[in-house]
Amino acid sequence: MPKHPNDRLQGTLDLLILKALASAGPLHGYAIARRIRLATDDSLRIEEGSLYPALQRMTQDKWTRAEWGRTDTGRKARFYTITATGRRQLAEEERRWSLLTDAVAKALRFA
Amino acid sequence: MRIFRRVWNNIRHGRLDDELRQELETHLALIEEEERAAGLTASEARREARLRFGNPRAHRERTIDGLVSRHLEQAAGDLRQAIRMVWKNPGFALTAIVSLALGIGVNTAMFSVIDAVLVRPLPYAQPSRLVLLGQKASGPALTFPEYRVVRDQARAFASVGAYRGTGQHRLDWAAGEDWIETVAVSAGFLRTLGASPVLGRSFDGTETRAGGASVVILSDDLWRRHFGADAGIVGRAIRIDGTPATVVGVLPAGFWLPEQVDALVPLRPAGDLTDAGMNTSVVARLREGVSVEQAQAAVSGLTERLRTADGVRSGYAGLVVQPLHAAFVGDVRTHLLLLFGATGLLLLLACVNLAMLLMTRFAARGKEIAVRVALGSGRRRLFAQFLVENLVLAFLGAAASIAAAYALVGGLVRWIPFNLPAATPIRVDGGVLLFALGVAVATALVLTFVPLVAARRLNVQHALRSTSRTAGQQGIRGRTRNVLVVSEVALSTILLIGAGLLIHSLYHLWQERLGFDPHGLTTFVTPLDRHPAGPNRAAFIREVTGRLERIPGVRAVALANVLPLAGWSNVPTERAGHPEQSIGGMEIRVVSPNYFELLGIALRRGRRFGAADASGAPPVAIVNETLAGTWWPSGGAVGDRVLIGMYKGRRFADLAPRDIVGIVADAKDRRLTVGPSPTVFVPLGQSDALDSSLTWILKGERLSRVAANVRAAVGGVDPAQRILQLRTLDDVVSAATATPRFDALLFGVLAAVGIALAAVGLYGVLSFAVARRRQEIGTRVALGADRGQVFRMFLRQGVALTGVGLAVGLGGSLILTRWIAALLYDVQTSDLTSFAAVAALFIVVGGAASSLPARRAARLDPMQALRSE
Repeated sequence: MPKHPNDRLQGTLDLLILKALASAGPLHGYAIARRIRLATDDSLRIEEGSLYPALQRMTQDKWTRAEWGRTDTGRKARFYTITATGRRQLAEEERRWSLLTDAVAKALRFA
Repeated sequence: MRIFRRVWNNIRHGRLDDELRQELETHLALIEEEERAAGLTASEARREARLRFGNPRAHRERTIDGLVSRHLEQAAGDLRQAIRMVWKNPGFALTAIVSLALGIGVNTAMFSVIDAVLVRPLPYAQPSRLVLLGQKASGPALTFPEYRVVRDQARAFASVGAYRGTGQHRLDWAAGEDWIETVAVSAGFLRTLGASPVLGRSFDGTETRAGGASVVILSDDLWRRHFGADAGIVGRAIRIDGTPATVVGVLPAGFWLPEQVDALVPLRPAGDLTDAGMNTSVVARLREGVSVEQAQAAVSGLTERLRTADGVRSGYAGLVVQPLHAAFVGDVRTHLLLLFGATGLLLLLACVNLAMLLMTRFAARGKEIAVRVALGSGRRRLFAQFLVENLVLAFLGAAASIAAAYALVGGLVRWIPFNLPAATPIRVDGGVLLFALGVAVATALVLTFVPLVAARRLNVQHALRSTSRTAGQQGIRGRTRNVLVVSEVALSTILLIGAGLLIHSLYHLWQERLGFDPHGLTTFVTPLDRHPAGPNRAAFIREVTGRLERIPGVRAVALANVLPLAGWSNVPTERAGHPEQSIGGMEIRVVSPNYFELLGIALRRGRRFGAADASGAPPVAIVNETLAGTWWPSGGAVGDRVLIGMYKGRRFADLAPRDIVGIVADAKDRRLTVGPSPTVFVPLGQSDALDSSLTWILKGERLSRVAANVRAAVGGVDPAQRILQLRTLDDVVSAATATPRFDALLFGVLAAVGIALAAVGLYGVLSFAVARRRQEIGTRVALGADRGQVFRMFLRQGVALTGVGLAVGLGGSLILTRWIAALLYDVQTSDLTSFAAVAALFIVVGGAASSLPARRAARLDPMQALRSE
């Protein structure tokens, strides 16, 4: 498969979503967005227009599993759960992320 | 991309879109709730939520878009990869494409034959409502009087019609002349088929009565060929065999009967022996709501009335109602299905062979695959990738196979020795191409399954650690290969058993005592249309005989109305004074005095015909042993008398009783597979009741030497006389076994291909096993194992594989060969000789194919083996 120019960005989004699911259990789209927003003190806002394609993609790749359920207020919503494959992917993404940030940090220090 | 999205949206508009809509609505509602909780009014909250969330429709489209392009990208990626793999391995690709092209091509060509003959409906209105009436004992034709009983009294039919091929006739009109094939039909025939003339009309009831007006309906082809598609043809006068006739109609293009039809003439009672012959094909259209079974039950009730009708028949067994298509196709169906089965097995063999090739390639690509699996390539993705690769191969193969099918179909039709009753031309068309495509996809699926099975067994860790060449080999167990070899052996066993049975049956046919000696005889046929019965005909025969006898190298000339194995002719006959001893379909041979001598038919009793048995002399006859045994079981035939043209006391022709002067040995008459029929011989000089043609038999030089002289001799007497079927009598006999020889040859060739493939497969599997176990063998030998032991170990493995395949194949044969039972002569489908011979052959082939790698294993140098890797 050809690499997308925005692969890195996409990877980051995946990382954030997976992390949210890994630490907070089954979440619906709104809750994922909200969780990431709150966790980053409003500095990272996930665009809904990117969130749902990412969720679809990850569900198709079996990183996440989707199930219909009810929210606390009784609304019908799709809840996403991270799978074992998803957890492996998360670990990999986290590793890559720290590699990248380390590298970038080093570069910034010495450049 | 926009188009794709639209297509995708249309396809998936259902679930995916609805779910997304619901999901996004919830999201929006939850934001709204959040804003309300923060203290906004309902409408403010809604506005704020819409502002924050953006356009849900755009989100939805983007999500779907993302999915579609992902799929497309994966597909495109697979395709690119597949084309790259095919391009990088031209040898493999070529082998695969060529074997697929042949496998699918032969099947496609075969399918176009099957399609034209068996699948496509007959070109009549509601063809499934049409039936053909036959007679249990004698086949699909009735006598003319029986036809009339059925037409007038069978209530199960909406309409009944009859036709009878009437052979070649000379057509002449104002501008020229030609030979045409005519078919006589009843007034209701075209109506029954649901066909009507494009110009003019069908025959009416008066024209099909005895002595009715001479009328003719032209075929579309004849009308275009000779009359320039002239719309004013109706009412024009032409001549058939010199008799004036009026054209009353033109048939539609595409009108078809199993017989060639250039023109239709009215079918009438002939008022002579013709009416007693089983020569009328009766076609009926079932009444609405009446099934074939119900019609059968209904006509069975007619049996008594038929028995008392004018019909002439011995051993009356009742009417049979058969769907028209099935009746037209007859046992061609069995042969075609057999052929199709054989070519299908060939394709299966090609597939198994390709699967073996793929396995080898898979083994070579083991590391690449292991890496992919390790990198998280799902099995499904891997499967998809293999499928695309194989689809690329299969479609290239299919494209080549279509070219092959185009090239093969003509040859196949020519090569098939039996008639193919097809209403439309046999060719590769849309439906056939669809078939080829279907086979290609199925083949790709089968071929993909093999690496998939192998991939399931692939041990990723192991494969990654070892060297690239052996990665796959160690990952994939030998089991898949073993299964493939076993199926190769099994498939070729089935083919070989089929071939064995057919060859055995053919041998029986060849061993059949003919009862005559065809060697050194040349024959030809002269139609007698130019020489009607009378002095002219006698003079013609005398003169031609004289000229033929003067040809250098020709030692004798004999004549007959019909040759053995080349046709038949029968008339009702009765033992004089014994109406209870009557045979309706008595075979009659009108022969010259030297006929028996020339054909080597032995005289058992009495005398042969002589020159004195001429027209003025007392009428005489000779009977064959079968007839003598039937009517005179305790002897006394010679000296008794027979009445030809008489049946159960009823006189059909005004012929005097004939004295029996001799009994001759039996000879095969109609077919090789059927015993001799009761036959009566009469001398040529005493019979004007000849058929419409005469067969000449020359003894002497080879055909090639005399052919030109024969034409010159006949032409010297009558330049316009036609000569047909100039050939040797050996050819006549050999034509009688053409179909069984074809079947046996076909299966023989396929079986040979199968055995070769199985042997190569076996060799490959064992070589592979030896290579894989090099170190183990080395260790064994180093530790003192006997080389003979090593040899036997591998030989045993090879023979065991052969044995399993053989067992499966023999079992399959027991089930499958039932299909060819109808084609076998004097051979059981569970024929022990064939089964034993095949088993022995396979054990030998299997042993030989295994012994080479086994010997290599036994000769392995332990030091070298242990040092490798």
